[in-house]
Amino acid sequence: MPGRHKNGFSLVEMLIALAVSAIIIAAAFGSYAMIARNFDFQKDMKYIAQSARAVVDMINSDIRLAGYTAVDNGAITDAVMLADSGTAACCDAISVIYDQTPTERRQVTYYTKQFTSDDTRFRLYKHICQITTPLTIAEIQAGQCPATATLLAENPIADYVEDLQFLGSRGNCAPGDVEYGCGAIQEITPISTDYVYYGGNGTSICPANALGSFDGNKATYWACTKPGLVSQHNAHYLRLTFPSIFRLTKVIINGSLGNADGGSFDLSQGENKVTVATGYEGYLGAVSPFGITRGLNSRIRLIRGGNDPHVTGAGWTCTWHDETKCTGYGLNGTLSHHLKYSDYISTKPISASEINITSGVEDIYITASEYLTIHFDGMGQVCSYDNSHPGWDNRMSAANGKCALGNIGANFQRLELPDMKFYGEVYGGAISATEIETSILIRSPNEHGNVDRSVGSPLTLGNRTNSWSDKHLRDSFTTATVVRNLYYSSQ
Amino acid sequence: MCGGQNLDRKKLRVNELGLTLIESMVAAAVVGIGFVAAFNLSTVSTNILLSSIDREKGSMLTSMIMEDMLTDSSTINSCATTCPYHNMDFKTAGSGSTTPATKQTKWQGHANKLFGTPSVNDKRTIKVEQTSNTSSVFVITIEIDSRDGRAKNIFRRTLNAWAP
Repeated sequence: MPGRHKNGFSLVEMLIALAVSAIIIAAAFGSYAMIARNFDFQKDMKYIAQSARAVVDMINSDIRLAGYTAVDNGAITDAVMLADSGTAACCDAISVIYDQTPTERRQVTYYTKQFTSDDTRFRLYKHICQITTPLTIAEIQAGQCPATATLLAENPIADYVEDLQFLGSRGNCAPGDVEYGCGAIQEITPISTDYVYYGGNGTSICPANALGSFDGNKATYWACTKPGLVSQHNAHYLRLTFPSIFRLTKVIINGSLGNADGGSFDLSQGENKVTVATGYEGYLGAVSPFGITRGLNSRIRLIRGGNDPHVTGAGWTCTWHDETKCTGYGLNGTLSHHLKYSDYISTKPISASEINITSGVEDIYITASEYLTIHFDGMGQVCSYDNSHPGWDNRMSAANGKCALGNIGANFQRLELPDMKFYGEVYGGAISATEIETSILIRSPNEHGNVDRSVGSPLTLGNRTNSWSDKHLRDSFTTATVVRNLYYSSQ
Repeated sequence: MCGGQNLDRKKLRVNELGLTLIESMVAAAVVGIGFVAAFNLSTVSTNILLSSIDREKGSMLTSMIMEDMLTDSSTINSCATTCPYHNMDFKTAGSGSTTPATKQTKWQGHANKLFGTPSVNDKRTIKVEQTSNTSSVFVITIEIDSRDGRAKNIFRRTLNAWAP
């Protein structure tokens, strides 16, 4: 048609074009917003997963090294220490000790610190200290390293940690279990003693306090000096009470008190008895007046005890996994609760004797109690070198002045117990863990979405229950690691 | 002659001016497919990330199972003949107080915490296979499924069963 413009758009076309463009732009913007939100979501999820993986790998590698000692370095005590934050507060802590090099012993500690005033946000720190003496976790957190040791590093390794839990275990053991293998092998010292006399009249004729024989001081020891002791030599019992339930594993008893009489003992001659005269044994190394009135090679027996010194029926626990073994040989309330009937513990003239209780599933080996009874089974013998000595018999003259051991005569009135040490598996405290379970809960730095999330809540990690209802993302990771040095050394 | 020339001009005008309705609808449909693909991209990438995280958790749980088995190497060593761990299904708790039963209960608890209660199609199994008749080396295969069996994670480790 003449006069009509061929260029440009009509109003209707413009409106339609605008409408279509608006729809397309809205769709594009919407997808951009959704993709951007998704990007933030994935970034935070990735942050949680990567942080947890890195932290768990780092902690596990240190746990695997715990207890490693370089050649010629001293043993490490407390190779793994755990600090429980309880059920309410965040978070547990762990400290491991190992030799990084022959000259560098490290204590690596992982713990959390609250970040600023936000009491739901914690940062996880890795603290590395070069030590000579182990520090407790509390001391490390209080700054004792660098005060008393060399601080090598203290760096945050993760943020937004909501919970960190460590659970130590030892096989199937839980803390407090009175089961074979679930305690800590350590020295244990009695806290009180009682003396009981079963000679007939029930009279207590000897001192009850025998703690001097367990104080590590050879100069102090239990002694009973009473007339007529010799005729009741197998009726004397000392009941020891210990601070914890334990299973006996080793006993060390010092040498006799023969040197209290004077004289000396030449150890190069040995401490075994040899025949010195017809019918008489003696010690070639003893020099008069060694042991002329003190009982040499006296014998004791250890009896698993309860409240009554040597009769049990209560007061002891079977620690063996097969409890039928604890109803076998004499364990059901009779008098046979000793190491083994033939297993007396004898003193040597000078040296200490070490007795390891490794007799398989025998009673004293597999039962635990806070009591132990010492039965004095024989007062030993005394040396006689000439006829001026109380144990002399004319037939000893063939010994030509050597120590000839004679039975205790009526003149002997002394009963003594040299210093002793006990070692056992002590129950009731924290177990010496050989496997550590690590759990971590991390939240996202930012909130996501419009609706509060409580998926997965409440969540129990270790001994703490976490609950939440907010817009943060959260995820938890758990794994376990064997402390190889401790595990294999315990086998 | 005039009519032929008019026809050519008409054709030219049709080619030069605008889009037909059908063309624009087709174009809109193609753009729509592109947007749907873009939306799906983000959804799929999120699912991939979540699967990756599940696999990471599965790997940690597998490490825990392996470490637990390491402390029970005497039982593993007897796996040549009798093996309580072989074909163990830790969707359910163990029964009894033996070491394998106690561990089964522990693993079940942790798996449920990490992956939720398993559905019927989810597998949580352990297989123990000896590498050769006299060997103390065992291959442990652990399968952990989630999302109703759609996400399958299989982990394999070797264990040298050291018997004290």
